Amino acid sequence: MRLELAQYHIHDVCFGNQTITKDGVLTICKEELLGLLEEDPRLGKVNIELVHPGEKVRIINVLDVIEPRVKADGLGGVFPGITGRVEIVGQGRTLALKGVGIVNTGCTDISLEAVIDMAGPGARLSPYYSSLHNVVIVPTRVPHVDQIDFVEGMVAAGLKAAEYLACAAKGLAPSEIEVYEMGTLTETMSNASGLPRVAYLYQIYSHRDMRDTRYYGEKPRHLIPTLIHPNEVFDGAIVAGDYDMPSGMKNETIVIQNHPIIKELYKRHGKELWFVGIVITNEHARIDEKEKSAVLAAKMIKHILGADAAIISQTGGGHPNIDLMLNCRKCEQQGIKTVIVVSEESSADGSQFPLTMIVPEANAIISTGNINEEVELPAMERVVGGEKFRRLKVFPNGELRIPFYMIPGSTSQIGGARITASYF
Amino acid sequence: MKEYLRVVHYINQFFAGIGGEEKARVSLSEKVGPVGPGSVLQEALKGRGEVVATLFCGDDYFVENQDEVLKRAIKYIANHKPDLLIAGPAFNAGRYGQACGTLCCSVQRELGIPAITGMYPENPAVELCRKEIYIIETPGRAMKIPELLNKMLHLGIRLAKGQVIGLPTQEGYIPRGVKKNIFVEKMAAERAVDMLLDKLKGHPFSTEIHPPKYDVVTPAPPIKNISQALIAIVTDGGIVPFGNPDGLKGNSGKTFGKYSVKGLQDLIQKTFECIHEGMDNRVASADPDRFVPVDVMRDLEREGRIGKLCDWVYSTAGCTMEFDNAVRIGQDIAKDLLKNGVTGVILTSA
Repeated sequence: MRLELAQYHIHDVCFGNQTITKDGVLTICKEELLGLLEEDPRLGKVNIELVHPGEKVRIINVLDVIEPRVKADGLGGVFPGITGRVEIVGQGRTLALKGVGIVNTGCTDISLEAVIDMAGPGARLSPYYSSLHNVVIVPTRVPHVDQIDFVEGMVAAGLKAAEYLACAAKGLAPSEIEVYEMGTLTETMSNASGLPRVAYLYQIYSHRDMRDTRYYGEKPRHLIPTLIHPNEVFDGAIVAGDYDMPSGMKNETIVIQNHPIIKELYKRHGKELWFVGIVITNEHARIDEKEKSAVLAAKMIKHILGADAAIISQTGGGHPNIDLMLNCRKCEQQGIKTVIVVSEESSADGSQFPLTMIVPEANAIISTGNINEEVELPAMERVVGGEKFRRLKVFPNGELRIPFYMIPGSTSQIGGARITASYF
Repeated sequence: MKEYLRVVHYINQFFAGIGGEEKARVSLSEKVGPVGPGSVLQEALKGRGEVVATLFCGDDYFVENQDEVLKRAIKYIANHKPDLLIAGPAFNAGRYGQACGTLCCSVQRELGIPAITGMYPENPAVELCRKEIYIIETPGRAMKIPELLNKMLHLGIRLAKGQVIGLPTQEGYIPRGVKKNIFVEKMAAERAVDMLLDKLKGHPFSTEIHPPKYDVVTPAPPIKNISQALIAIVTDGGIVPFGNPDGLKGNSGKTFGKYSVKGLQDLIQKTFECIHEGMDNRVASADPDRFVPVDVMRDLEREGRIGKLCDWVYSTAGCTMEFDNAVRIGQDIAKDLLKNGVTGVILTSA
């Protein structure tokens, strides 16, 4: 499949009479966007605030961040199964507004503490989000709508807003176009030219309500390891829905849309390696399901993709470490060389062994940092996304001392950050 | 820190020139100025400081009278008001290492004075103290003493000045067993592919998480007569009396609760609940027997398959619990179980 990601670089966002993009400025018609979001009876009144890089603003109660995208042509919409029907995605042209983030924030009974500082040391820890012009959606709860329905409403709202804003780029010339092209297995096998064949084993998390990554809009609770084309990931086949997880244990949709490991494999494809494909797998709750998954994933990587090596990453906290290690062991036993990418859950002082499980075969691990290490953030002038935290008993605009897991994107489990935990 | 650096040096009987193993029982003494290899430090400090005193002690004497020696040493050192303590280097000598390590830890802890020592990584004393103090890495045999003392002094001065200490590979100390987050140039995704290509080519690479050192636990022998045995239920599933009276934490816990099930035939919802935050705990709250199977244990009691179910259930929530806390909680629970005459445990886990 061949996907053209047409990118529109946006350097400012403001409100105005219509939603349009001109000369790199996105103007949003607030009334129209609010009308679109408030159609959903699961959400009460919604407020939208604009937050810009460098402002002394703290966005709190962050549930998700999404990149505005829409299909220009090719089948389907960019969030198949959620904003539109399921069609074959990952081909044709998708328009993306770069430099803009839609930030879903939640009410305090839903969200866990999640803080994006747009300036200061916090901004440096989360450079992806602090460099975006953020369109922050702040909903209110409706009494008769329960938590689970409210979260479904938020998921849909963020993705609807993403498509709606990206429509402002339709018909305009993009700043640049990135092309992602990968053939079928049949084409792949004859072209590998002696390069090592590398697969990516992508563990996603789907356990219970409010803790489900979405796969084509479904909650993949019983997912058996499945092949997926990398372009499907770029075109929204997988989005965040695991809202009730700490930020350090999940990936925001925007990072999945720009999946760093997949992008890196594409970058080196045909040069240093041959990227043969992706297997996605759920991190099941039961140990027998985890073991079964590991067997089937290794089988798929070895006997269907014919890979020599695989990168494995997880979504979540401690128990997905078990999936990582079972997957690693099963792959290595099949002769597939593996590298694991994982964040660490040590103590705050970094002295405790940081994984729930490790196997001797896991001799090549990339650490994305200790999520429990604490960092001090200064006071901010303005807070967006709520008036208080769910559990932290401090004023959101004041000085904070919080762990990395409350800073979205800081220890990106799919490899998008530049923080690691080093031995001292 | 003042401009002029006051340093105290600690060495053993051998380096103090008193004698070898036959003199390992000499007690703690001090002398003004440098002694033996301390002259290297004195030379290095010329113009900007001095070794104000040297403490020395026989290795055996230190280890056999550790508390008393440390108390006296702290007094002597406090009197000199130094900016820095340098101990050793002890190389691979176990007792000398223990002396240097414990002295440095005490001085740092009780006097707030930075302290540095030097040891071979396999010296057993390294594990005792590396989390608290910096230990410059040395070879196994006593050699290159001037170079090592200079290294120790250099790092000690930076510590005394409150400067940020870099990575072990940069500064020459034995990794302390702590990890800290740092920024690196390459994104993790790029590092992952780099590492994979190195692994495929058989090139060396450095994994970023090393496996832990496991201690081996010998299992208890089997229960001889289980139909007479007192069996307890222990759980890390976070089952607590409804309302969580002890305020047990649902994640990163440090404590456990001890709850009576005396006279209860099974645990029903709203009398007990599950506070574990790592899973959907509503199912366990609806029927707490799922983690604490009092109902089944009562059946086994009636059938004579066990002697008796212990009246006490021990509970904690294992979600994101720190390893050291888990070890300590396990030991504390075990002590209590033994006190109560329990000989077998059903351990349930979330």
